[in-house]
Amino acid sequence: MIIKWLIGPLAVSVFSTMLVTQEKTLTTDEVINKYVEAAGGYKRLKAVQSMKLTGQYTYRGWDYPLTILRTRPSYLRIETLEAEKRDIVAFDGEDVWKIEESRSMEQAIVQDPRTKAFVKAYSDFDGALVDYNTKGHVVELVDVEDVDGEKAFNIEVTLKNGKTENWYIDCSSFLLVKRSAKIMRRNREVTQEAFYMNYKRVNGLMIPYYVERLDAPHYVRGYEITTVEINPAIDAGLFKMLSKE
Amino acid sequence: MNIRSEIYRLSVFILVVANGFLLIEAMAGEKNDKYNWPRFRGPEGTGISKEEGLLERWPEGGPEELWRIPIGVGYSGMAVSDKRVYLLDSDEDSEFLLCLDAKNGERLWQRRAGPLYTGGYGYGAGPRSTPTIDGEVVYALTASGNLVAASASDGKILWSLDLKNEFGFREPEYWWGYCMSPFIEGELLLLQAGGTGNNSIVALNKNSGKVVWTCHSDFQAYSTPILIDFDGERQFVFVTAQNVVAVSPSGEIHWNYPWGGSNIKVAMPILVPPDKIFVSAAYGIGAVLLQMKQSGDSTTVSEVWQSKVMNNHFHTSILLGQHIYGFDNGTLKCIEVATGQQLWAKRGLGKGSLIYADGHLIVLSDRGKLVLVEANPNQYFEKSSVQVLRGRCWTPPTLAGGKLFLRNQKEMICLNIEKQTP
Repeated sequence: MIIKWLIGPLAVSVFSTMLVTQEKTLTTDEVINKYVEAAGGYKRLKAVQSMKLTGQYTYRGWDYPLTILRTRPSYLRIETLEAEKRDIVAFDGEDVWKIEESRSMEQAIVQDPRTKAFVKAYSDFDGALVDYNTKGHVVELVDVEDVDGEKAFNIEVTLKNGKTENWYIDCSSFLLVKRSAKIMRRNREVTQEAFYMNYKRVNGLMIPYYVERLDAPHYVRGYEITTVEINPAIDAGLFKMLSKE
Repeated sequence: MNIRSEIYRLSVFILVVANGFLLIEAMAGEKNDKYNWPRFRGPEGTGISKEEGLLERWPEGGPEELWRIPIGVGYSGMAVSDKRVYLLDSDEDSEFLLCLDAKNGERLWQRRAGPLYTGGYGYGAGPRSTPTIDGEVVYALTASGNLVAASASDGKILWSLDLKNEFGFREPEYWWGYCMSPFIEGELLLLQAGGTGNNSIVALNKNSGKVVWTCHSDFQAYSTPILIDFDGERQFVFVTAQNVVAVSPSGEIHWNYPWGGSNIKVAMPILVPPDKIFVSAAYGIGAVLLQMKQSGDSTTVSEVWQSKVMNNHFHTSILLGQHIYGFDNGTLKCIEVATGQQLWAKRGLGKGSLIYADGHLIVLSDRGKLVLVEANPNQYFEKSSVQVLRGRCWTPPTLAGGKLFLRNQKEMICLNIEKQTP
């Protein structure tokens, strides 16, 4: 009985020590390598040429059908539907364009350089941490921090364009749990945060099925994914800016 | 026979019988209270139900759905008394006070309560306030500020009052309509009228609608008041636009605590017995725990702690023992009330709402996912969840007689969460 009492706390203590030691001793690259491995592995990530995610975008309690299309190298199209009207933001490899039919915008328009830089950074097919050095980004393991009660490695990523982001990698699962960046909103700099959760394995890749985005603490946007298609055929024309017709 | 002793015995008998009746009556009262939900956030306005014998886990697919009916747009909560459900909804022109049969959702009566409120900066039209049932009368407030008292049995309007006209409403820069729910205490009906001069807080005679007193000067907030008993004195605690203010039943201000600038405040204050008040709001305000102290004839308040740990946007938290459970914007959290320390956090439920019953938090996400969570300060433990509604669900659940009443902007449903006895 005494052994039982001892083994429990001892095991917890050893495990905690291991975790703390691991947190303290891992280098930035080791954390990133474990993150890549946890996400599905480098080989599997690179084997993905296209992706289609469908689900719901939620804001202020309303649901809007959501479709996200991505193909390499960095084409991106995010489309939501509101009462049969399409709101689309897309990156065609050169420009970021958007149309908001729900706001009676009749024609797609090219976005300003600031928005372009922002969307382009998000359109990185593998994410900024994969091959960060060849992309010209600089990474640094800043600290271990609490994210909703769980410990996470905080990696500061200075993108090639000079912008910085923070990626939070869960200390036990090594999955991305949070990402934050400073953005301009109504001419004010605010911190945008995204939280990644409900991970499920699809074709060996770990996909977050729910992402919560906060442009400010009270602006909560939800992206709930219901289906994920890996390497579907996607018409390249869908990334091109919509013509007036 | 000794007549005196006979009279004595008879008196004792009468007393025992009378007390017995009183006891039965008291028990019946308790039972009724326990199984009714007569106002916003339940019998005591705390979001806590005393019901027991509820399902500890829900079957696959969720609790049994007893009925589902279409309703008009609105955020009004459901008040339940004597197996009747009262709420507000709307059509394209008007807001209505409805009475439904709790058994099947059948509409027993409906009365026009005022014109449809259409403002609100994209947050939607329709009523926000929950009716309050007091005996045979139901009180309801439309989003435009029309207060009505109606007969609970047939909906006959007993009196009505246009708060805006009566008290010279001062509309704040951003306004989302009248949201608070009527508060009844004794003969008084209390509200934040948000009027000019000293017409911020008003007390009406609940039988006539006549003004009994008014006090305080501030813009209106969206919060429903609470009644506390502090050091032998009853105080109504209001959260107004820029203050937390305690008022006596005769309209004297006990204390006033300026709080959070002019930002929007929706959540109700919470009494942390015996002598503290917890308040919380979003838009970067956070939470503060106030300590009340009696010195001589006056009450003073001071901050115990303030923190950004809990930002209640639409919904009020729940106090269970030494812990507060609530939505910090889009994150359900448990915090320790004495310190404000966060104990756990759970994302993914949007700006949901919650009530407590029988050891569990019953949480409704802002998209209609209903979740049964163990009320446990040590961890978030989800026991069951089911998608019961779609679209915007900003109305907190109502629980009465083992039945859960939920609504969105188009539908209302009744679920049976009572354990089935063999």
